Amino acid sequence: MIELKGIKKQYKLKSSPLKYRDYYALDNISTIFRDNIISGITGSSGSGKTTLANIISGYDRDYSGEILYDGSREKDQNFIRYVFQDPYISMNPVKTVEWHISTAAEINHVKIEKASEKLEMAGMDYSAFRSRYVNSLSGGELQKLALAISLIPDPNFIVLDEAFSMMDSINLFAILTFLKELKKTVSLIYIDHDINRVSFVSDYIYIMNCGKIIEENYTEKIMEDPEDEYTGELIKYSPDYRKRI
Amino acid sequence: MLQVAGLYSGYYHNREYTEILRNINMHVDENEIVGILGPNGSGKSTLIKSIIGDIYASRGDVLYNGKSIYSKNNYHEYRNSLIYVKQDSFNSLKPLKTVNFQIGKLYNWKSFDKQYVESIFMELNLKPEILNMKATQLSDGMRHRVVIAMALLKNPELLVLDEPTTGLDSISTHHFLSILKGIKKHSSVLISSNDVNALFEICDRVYILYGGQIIEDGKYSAILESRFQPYTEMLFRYIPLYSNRNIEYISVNNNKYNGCVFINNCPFHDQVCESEITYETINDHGFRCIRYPGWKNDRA
Ligand code: SF4
Repeated sequence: MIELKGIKKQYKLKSSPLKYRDYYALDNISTIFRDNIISGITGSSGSGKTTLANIISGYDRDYSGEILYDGSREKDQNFIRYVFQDPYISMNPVKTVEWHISTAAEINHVKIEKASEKLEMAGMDYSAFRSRYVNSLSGGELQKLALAISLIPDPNFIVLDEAFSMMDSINLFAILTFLKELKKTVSLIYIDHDINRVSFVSDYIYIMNCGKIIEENYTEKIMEDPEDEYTGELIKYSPDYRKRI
Repeated sequence: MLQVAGLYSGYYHNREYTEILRNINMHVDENEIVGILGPNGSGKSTLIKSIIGDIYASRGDVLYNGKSIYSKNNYHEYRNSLIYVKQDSFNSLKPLKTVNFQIGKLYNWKSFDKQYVESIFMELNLKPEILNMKATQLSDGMRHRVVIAMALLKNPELLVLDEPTTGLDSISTHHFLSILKGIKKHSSVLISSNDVNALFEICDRVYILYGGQIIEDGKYSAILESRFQPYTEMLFRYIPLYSNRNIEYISVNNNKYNGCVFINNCPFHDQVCESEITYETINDHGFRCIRYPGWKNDRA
């Protein structure tokens, strides 16, 4: 479980030559992310989703407030893993899939067989892909590899930040279906600007706007009886092939 | 207006030709919104590049008002009547410059009447104040509309858009699509995307591309009513939507690669599919599937 207590992050913005005003990237966020479910976070870009993800996963330490990981302020380095939107950030384009899997296995003291299993689980055949260079993979394949690598250390939590943005809808459907299996062993925080995908995969949803969580609840409640007006609009306007504009 | 006739196209790499597109036939008429829908790697971007004349066809032709765009004389005129908005152009505005400045930079500002610019902006629901705002002050949705407004200033006959709704939240996507729908009064729109939802909300006709071939096409309503090709059927079944959250995903891998472009992942494949699959039409609804309508009854 991850508990956030009054998380704030602010920037100073120049409003005129001599004046600054405070701008809250995150404005007093207190909430809980529970174990063994998929927690979905959605909202438009600039709402604070990525800033929050960076703070939760420990990449950004410049904030005020407190985070408790299973009740403790310290976390084991394998407690939480972050999968970025851009899979290239964490990969070496001129190395093979095998190199990435075996390096991750070595760092985490895991057998290569156990590591390559994660790739199979994510829907990629290790024997077919092992000698492929990373720069020859499609965006969707790279994103599957990034997910597999994040699973190798057996983390408690995984944060997926627009992590499947390069997949087409059938592949996305497949990988989101896989996440629903995965939640039995890993707790997931799934971030996406698209409320269709978030509501498809998540058990519990957080709606963000202007640095705040404006509404959070179980998926059924959010989708069928939203309390906030903005949430209602996100749902009403969500693209759906059966609705004609 | 625009016609693609028996087009084959691909890339040269180290003098070796890789064919990507095979026998593409399509057309865009006046005041129409036409969609090209296909997964990554289906040949969508090669098709768009061929249509705007960035790459040559190895066979076949692209005709604009009956004239080949590949001839030098016609090409220039053609490129003046269409505007192509690439996916990354939506983020190409200079962040710290005003919209006004960017328009001036892109075209020669003097060539536009201020009132004309404002009227186009108003039409896309952008207040004139926006002209004096910097790109960073605009929301994602507004930035998308500004890019489209800038394209419309040239009064194009055809607007070609590549993945225009990627990254937008649902409210901005909805506003953006409604505006495109209004644009077709004065310009035809060709959109390439892999978003089934967005395309079927606004397109008059849709072409579905898979493995470099058009495997199904027709009026949006005809395709919504019944799919003739199993890939399209799967495309509609596996859409991540709240209402689909209990649908089970069944992956199919037949280890077959000859004949039909979809044979490896088709749940309905059979011996007959290992041959060249011809294109057929029933009431302007085109498809490539040798087992239609037989496969429709195969479903468990
Ligand atoms: S031709 Fe055969 S393999 Fe191809 S889509 Fe039809 S049933 Fe499937």
